[in-house]
Amino acid sequence: MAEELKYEWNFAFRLDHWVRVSAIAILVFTGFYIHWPFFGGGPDSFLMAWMRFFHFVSAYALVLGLIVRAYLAFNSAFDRDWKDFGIFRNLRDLPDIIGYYLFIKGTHKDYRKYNPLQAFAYLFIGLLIIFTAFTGAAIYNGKAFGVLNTAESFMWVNTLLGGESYTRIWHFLSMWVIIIFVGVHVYMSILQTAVGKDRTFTSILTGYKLKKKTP
Amino acid sequence: MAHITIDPFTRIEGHLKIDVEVEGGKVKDAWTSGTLFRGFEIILKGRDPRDAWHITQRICGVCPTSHGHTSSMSMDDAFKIKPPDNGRIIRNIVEGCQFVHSHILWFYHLNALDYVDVVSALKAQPKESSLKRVQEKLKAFVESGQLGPFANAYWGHPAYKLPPDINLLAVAHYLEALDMQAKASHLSALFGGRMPMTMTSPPGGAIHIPTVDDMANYFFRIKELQNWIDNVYIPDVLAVAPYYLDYAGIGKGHANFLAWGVFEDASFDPKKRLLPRGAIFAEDFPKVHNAKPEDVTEHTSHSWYKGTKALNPAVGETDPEYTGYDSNKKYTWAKAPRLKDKPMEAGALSRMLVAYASGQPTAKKLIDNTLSAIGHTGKPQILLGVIGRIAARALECKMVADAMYQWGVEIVENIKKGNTDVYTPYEIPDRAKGIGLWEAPRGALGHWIELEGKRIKNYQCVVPTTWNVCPRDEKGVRGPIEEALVGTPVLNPEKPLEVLRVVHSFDPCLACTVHVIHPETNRIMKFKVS
Amino acid sequence: MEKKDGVGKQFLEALEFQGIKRRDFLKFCGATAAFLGLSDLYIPKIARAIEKASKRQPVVWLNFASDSGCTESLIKATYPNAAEIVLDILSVDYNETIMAAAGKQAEEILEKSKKDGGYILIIEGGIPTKKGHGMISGKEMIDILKDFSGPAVAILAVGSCATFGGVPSAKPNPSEIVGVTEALKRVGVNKPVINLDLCPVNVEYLIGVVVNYLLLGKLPELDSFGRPKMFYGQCIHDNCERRAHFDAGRFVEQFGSNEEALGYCLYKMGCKGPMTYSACPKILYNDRISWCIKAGAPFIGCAEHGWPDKFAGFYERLPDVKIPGIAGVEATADKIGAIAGVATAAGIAVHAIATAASGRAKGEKKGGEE
Repeated sequence: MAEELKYEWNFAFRLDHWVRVSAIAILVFTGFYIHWPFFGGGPDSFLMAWMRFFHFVSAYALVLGLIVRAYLAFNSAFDRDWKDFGIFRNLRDLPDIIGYYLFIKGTHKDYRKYNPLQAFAYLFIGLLIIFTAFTGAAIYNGKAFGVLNTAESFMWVNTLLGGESYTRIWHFLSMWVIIIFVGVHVYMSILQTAVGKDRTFTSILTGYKLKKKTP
Repeated sequence: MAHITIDPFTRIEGHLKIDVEVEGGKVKDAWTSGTLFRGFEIILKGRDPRDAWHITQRICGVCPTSHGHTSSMSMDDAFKIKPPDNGRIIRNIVEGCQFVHSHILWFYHLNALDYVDVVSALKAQPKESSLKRVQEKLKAFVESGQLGPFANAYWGHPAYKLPPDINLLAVAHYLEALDMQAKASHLSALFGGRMPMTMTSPPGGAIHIPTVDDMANYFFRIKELQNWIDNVYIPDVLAVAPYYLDYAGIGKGHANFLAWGVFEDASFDPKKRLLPRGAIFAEDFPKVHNAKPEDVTEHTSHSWYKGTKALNPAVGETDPEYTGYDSNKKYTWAKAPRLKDKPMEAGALSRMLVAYASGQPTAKKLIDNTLSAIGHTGKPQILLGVIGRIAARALECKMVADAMYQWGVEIVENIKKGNTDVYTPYEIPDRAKGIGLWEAPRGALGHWIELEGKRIKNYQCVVPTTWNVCPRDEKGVRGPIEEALVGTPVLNPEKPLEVLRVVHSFDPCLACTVHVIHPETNRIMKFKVS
Repeated sequence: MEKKDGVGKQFLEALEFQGIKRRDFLKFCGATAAFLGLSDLYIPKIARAIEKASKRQPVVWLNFASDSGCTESLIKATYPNAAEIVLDILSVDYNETIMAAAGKQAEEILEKSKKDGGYILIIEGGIPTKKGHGMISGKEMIDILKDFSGPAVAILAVGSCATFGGVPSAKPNPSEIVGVTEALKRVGVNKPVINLDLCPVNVEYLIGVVVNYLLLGKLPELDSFGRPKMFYGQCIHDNCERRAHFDAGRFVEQFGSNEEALGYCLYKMGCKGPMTYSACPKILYNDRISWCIKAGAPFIGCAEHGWPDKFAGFYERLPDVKIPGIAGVEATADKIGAIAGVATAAGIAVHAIATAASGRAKGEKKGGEE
């Protein structure tokens, strides 16, 4: 069967992806440290301050990365893929892909870029990152982007969730959902690489995927 | 026959209702009833046992420290640990601050206005300029027409017997004592973080070893309190007492006394505490008997609960059933605790008598001196009554303040030796039972706990005022305050000042008492007024 | 001197006549100015404002489902001290714990206050809404509150119980206790309530609000929980004396330890400072001697809405969370996360094995296997 290399991700998409990956990695690590400082600082260190510093910087990176991804979806010179997230079309095709992954069906339809499960997962995780950012801002006592006084501007989040200690728990739990997402996401890309033999796993580094040649 | 209801009963903690029947100028019968329920034991179920000592402090804002300590001690017992020496002493000091604070507050601000006629002080002719200024201030205050907390009291009642000069002195000291009780509390904040609601006595001991600065501050402050107690509080009691000696025989009650003991000794033996454990019964006064938690039973025959079986708090049941206010049947939410089936009085008088009869040297000396000062050498019986309770508090206040200084010295000695341990680490056991027996300034306090799955399964408190304010038991034997009220002369049923004196002498604290109640009622109690 | 301080000579004489030393008085004004965030220049102004108020402001203090801890807190005031508050600045007409009158005579005072109106109503303790659970003189507490809220010029809820229910309203809330704001809403009274949340209230907050009212004739600016911003505007964690240790990553791991003696951060002991807004680190307690964290104790969060349940266990980093739908199961956020993580890992493993077993990975065509 003839196959060809297809340029799936241009540099902007790949860079944005890896910015978010590193931001999430740093956020999770520093987040765990802030939640429970599992190793101590020396006499002159500012360990917790640095942890918090990197946590907040990464938080900005993640939020901005997400904004850039949204912009690319609508206005990329390479691939405006916002239509792939169309909820109604994806809902229609959802049984097809779930059936495939649960071994009820042997094959699934061909999807352009994302299958419906992927599209929903990415949409959900995008919204979850926004939620995490809001809960984070609500428990952060400072000036978001140097202008927004978080204690006042995000007070409503605390009121909505029932007080700051609950906001903290929501922030913490949403991190766990993100961790789970990352796990499943990586597994799925390995799975696809193994099953589809299409270099999905490396495509986010190289930009290229193997595709069946369309006649 | 006149029926008097006093509700709200003021200058106590909490919501209390007193009913008395007066015949021939004397109280013939009396009933006590608490009217607020908050349900702490129910709230505590299922919680982290380390939180209990914070939650139970909120049972009572006047004696939070005692509840906190008793709770921590019951946990210590359940975890099978003992606090280190410094932890023990810090707990004693923080508790001591509360005793001193509470006794000063009680004598001057809760109790004194039953004996001191504030308005009569205007007639005094003081020579000292400081007293003159107080009098002028008082005059300006009365003339302003805004009497604030002194409005509408029983001023001018014939049972007020102090001459104007002593009244004025008492008013001056009333104001001074406001500062001193605050200072006693500030002192406990030095170790406890704040007061009310101390922060540093969790299960295991104490949190923080005091710094040199803390200790210097402490000695300076405790000295000031000691001086004030010796030079103002005790002399005031001695100055007022001769005018009210008739109250020595009034409010005697059952004359059964219970003290669990307070201020832990290095040996952790409750009989060696500064104020030791013991019980005294009227029939062989003043012999001290062993006081054991197993001997405690709680009766419900006159309280709004189902069942009439008297149970030990360790297996206590709380099954409420409201049946309306009927002084012949059930009339209060408080259960009736009994020791060996006897109603027991709790408080400073109980502690001092038990200490005296057990031969505690300081208590013995203080009481013997007092007895000979009033011409009753070797006759502690004279202390059974209202005046005895007032005197016992004053003496205990002095005794505790003096001991507090010594405890400070002990801590310094320990630190010098390099012993800075304050806390014993522990693992919370999966299942355990524990008992904490201690004293609040108002009397014997016990917490019974049971843990399951590292959580609180059951929590029962038997608090001082429940001992004192309880109703009749199934044999119809009155509770201590009810019994003490019988026979009290009442000159004017419209202004039952004498009843106030007897009830205040017990220093009731109702928030503690009715924390156990869980009524399921939709009816409102109807009261007869006069 | 009088000119310079801007305080009328006559007034100072009157003060001295009342036994207040001028130095103490200005000290009090200074403390007040600090509360209000004013510079020292305002001290004479405050003094003049109090001078003008010839009639002392009446106060009615009602105890509901409380433990009198806030009354205790009140009488521990220092500048001004309790005697000055009760006798010189305010006219505390009704407070069951300190008043001389009792029974019928006490009720008469209460009736008179209600008729005269114009008092500051201070509420201590939550309001039981279950019938029969809290009564004074045979009246339900919530009805008493309704009666007395009408003629009041200002309503202050002091302490955790009065603001949002506090400890007695902790689950399962046996007496269905609510805070003053909620209780007033239920009986249809629409009046602003100033919530001074803390268990017990810090008396300096209380005086600050009252003086603010006497001075400016209006209530202070409130946050969304009805708490004055001047006291509840800043996070305890940000003003904490141990904050430097937090930033440095130096933590107490056990009570009584060397780290504790060195004053390291109590974060790992369950300190709730980072999620609590109050001026405790600045104003402290008891004549400003100490406060929880200075004494080495982790802060338990008593200044916040939803305390204590949203902050218990007090010695854990995050509070216990009840998982909805699973009766009786309580878990901390950590456990929830760990369980979810393990479940996911297990799911992935199962799926990977299933994929291998199905032979998909070998690239075999699987048509017709359904």
